[in-house]
Amino acid sequence: MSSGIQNKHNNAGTKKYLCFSLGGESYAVPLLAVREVIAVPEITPVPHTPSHFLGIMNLRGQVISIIDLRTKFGLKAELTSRSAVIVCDLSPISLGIVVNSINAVLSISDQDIQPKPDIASNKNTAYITGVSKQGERLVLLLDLAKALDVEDLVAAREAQQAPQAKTA
Amino acid sequence: MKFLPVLLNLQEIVTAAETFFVFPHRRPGHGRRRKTPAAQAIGLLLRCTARLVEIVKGLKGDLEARFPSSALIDELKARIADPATAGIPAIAPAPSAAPAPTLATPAPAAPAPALVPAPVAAALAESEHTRLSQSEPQKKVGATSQDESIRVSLSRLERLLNNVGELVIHQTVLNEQRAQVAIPLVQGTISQLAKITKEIQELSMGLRMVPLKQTFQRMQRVVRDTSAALGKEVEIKFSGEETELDKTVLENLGDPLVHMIRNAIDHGLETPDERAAAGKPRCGLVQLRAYHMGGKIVIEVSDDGHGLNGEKIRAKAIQKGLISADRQMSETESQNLIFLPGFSTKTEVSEVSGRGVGMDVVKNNVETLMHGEVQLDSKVGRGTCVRLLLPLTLAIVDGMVVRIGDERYIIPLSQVFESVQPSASDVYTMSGTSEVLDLRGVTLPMHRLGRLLGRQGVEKPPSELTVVIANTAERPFGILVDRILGQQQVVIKQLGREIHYSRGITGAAILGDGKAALILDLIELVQHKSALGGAGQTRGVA
Repeated sequence: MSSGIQNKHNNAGTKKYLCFSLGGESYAVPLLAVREVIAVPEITPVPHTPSHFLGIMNLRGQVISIIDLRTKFGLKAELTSRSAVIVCDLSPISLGIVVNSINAVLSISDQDIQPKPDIASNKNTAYITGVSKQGERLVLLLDLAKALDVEDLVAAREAQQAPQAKTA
Repeated sequence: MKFLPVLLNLQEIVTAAETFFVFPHRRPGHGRRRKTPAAQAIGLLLRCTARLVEIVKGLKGDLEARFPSSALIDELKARIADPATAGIPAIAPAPSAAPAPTLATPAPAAPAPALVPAPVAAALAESEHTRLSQSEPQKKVGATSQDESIRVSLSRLERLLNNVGELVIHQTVLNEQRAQVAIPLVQGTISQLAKITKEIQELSMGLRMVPLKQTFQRMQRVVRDTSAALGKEVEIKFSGEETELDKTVLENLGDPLVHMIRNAIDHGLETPDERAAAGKPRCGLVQLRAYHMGGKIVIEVSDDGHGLNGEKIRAKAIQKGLISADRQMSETESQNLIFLPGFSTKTEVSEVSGRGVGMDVVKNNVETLMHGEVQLDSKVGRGTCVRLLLPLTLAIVDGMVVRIGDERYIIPLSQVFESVQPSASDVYTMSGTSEVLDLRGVTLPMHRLGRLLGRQGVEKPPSELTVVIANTAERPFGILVDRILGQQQVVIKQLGREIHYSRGITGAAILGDGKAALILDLIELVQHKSALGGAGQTRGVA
């Protein structure tokens, strides 16, 4: 249990993570999946989409969808001056995620990552790949593709298009 | 029917083989092989291929002289089947490796398709277009095209265009603020920047444009094949091959064009005897023209055949049950019946056409895939001209920006017939909620855009709103919006696959202030709503 935290010199298993807060909780995603972090832009809502789907934005000429993970996780969603959008590259799509604040970039060694506590009641745990203790805080490592149901979304879209193609 | 590229490729193989085997002294360390039996066998094979090269030259000449080439193709087939030339495939790997022993063994009589080994076929497919477009030796073409152009992936181009779009937006902001800057140098720089930005924008939009030449050249083959199959003499004339078209439009153009040309030859042109009897030259003329007209590209296929007989077409349509017998029609209306699905003027079905799949597909393709239109112009005894009016590009659309609440949406201008400000007396309600508009004596159903998009909010009476009348062929309808903000050209951006939006949204665009807005398809939106009934309003809000 107490192993690992001191093994800072072992670089082989160390990855960088972007740490941010959602509601009152600390989350982290692999830095390699992050394209950039921007201030909350003007968001154009898209009709007939779930409530966590905030809409689309213009990122230097590219149209990118914005998702509020807090609504999806059942946390309180509010926009403050510290709110930011993390633009992630999730093959095959790029998505923006609204977060309460960006905290830090952390180097976390694989040994410092512990399996997530088994709490069956919490519906969010499926998206969490592990936890890491950073000082006083417990950082939850997030699997973005799972959290956003990327496969579900893409599949849903394709499934929806298939019958349309037939009727057209 | 890829004889020409195959044969042109043979020329290359011959040259490579020649340097490799016949002149081994040119390669260091291989001089002693000069007199081996293998080399002699290769020499023989080379003479065979040399003969094919002569045929290639003949074929090229033929193409220029435009004499019927089907006989020649038969001749080629016969020659390929000839055992004397069957050994050719064996040399194909020669340029890359040095398989002298395998070459010496007698190759089994190869069937005609085996003439092109797989790697060569792949190379052929790649370079086919260059070869077809130029009837000069391949080496020369390769050299010049490398100097003149490079291939860039479309995604890179799109990224460039995205950024240029953004540059223009920021430039506009800067330009508006120019008056507030007191420093002349800054003012001058801004105006200079504006000029350069404009030029960059124009240049980058032009990057997607490709000349029509290759597509036109391909049609030459269609003409040749079709005329040979039908036993008609046809001459094809091109003009405007240098006209440039957006690559995406061009990609969709090939199939309709093939249809149109086949139609022109099969249905349009008479047989040589009929032509002679009508006092026309035996050889029919098909013209393929491209030109700019009013911001659009016009592609025209015309023939000097017997033209469309409106009466005959009408009779046929009645016979097929496509229209009712008592319907009165003008000559033009009757002629336009050929665009009906399932229509064919031919009594018997031929290999080329007459299967009832034709002009309706062309019309459909042009209208849906290319957002263009098809026009028909025909005079009995003089000929028929089918005109495609295509937009310059699919990447840009003329849009009408409308507002509902504080949201803005873009409606393609092609879908807008007109917009009116209804007076309260012109609006009626039907069964409580549906609203209809009395527009100059015609009643039109009206839909509130806010409701179609599942937006809640206080609804104003129609007299305070604007009605956009949709441009549909069948059932016209009106869309109620808060206000029309203006018209502008927008660059269409595809939405990400993550948005499982309902039908009726075709994409997004960046407006002049840098904010994204959705592009709507009114017809789809209304169809979708009526298909779902009232459910469309609550869907997806959960």
